[in-house]
Amino acid sequence: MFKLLGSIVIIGTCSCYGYYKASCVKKRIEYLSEFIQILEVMKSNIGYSYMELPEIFNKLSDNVNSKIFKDMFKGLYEELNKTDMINFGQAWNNGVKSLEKNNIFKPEEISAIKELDKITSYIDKDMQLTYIEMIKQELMLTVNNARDESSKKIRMYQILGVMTGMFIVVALI
Amino acid sequence: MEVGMIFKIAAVGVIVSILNQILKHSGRDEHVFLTTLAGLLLVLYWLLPYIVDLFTTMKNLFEI
Repeated sequence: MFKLLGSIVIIGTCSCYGYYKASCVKKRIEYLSEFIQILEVMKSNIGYSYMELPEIFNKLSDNVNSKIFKDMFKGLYEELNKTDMINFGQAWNNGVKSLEKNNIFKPEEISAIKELDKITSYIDKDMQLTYIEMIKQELMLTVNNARDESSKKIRMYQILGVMTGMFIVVALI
Repeated sequence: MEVGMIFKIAAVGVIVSILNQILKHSGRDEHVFLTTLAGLLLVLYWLLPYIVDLFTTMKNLFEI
């Protein structure tokens, strides 16, 4: 009886871990796609409505779906509105650190997102839009590669989880 | 040696081969070797007492 219960617990735990890793792969793609849409919104707001960056971030924090981006843009809006003069680059890097904590994005994706800290070095609006477009293209390439690999990886993690649990059970019994 | 041991060895073989197929299909060929090695070591660990017994019996039988 206990052997059976223990086996079920071990197989269940390993399977859950496998499914969790698979869901992380799916989430990464969803978050990257959402960030690309956020970049499009930023481009539209900078290009057409001439909004300032803090106002854009405040608007984004209300409109985005994911909690991690909501918190990031809310934090950015509050930091940029503080009276002690933190520059945009520092505020942006602090915001990206909150994304790093979630351990969803790969280091190269975090580096691409961090590059947006240099946007305020371009005074010209067109250059800012071009810079955002450049980062958007980089991330789109990453998302396309991730989508191609994701189906294999998701299946692999799910099955690996179950098989590892069974392997451990057979080894222990 | 219990009959259950044979089934356990067969189960390890099946699981290792399925894992290898999945890892090969996902392009992780370096992990295939490690999985096979792990399965082999586990089965050897189970069989070692019986092999020792076999050699002891042979030694006693021929009074070497």
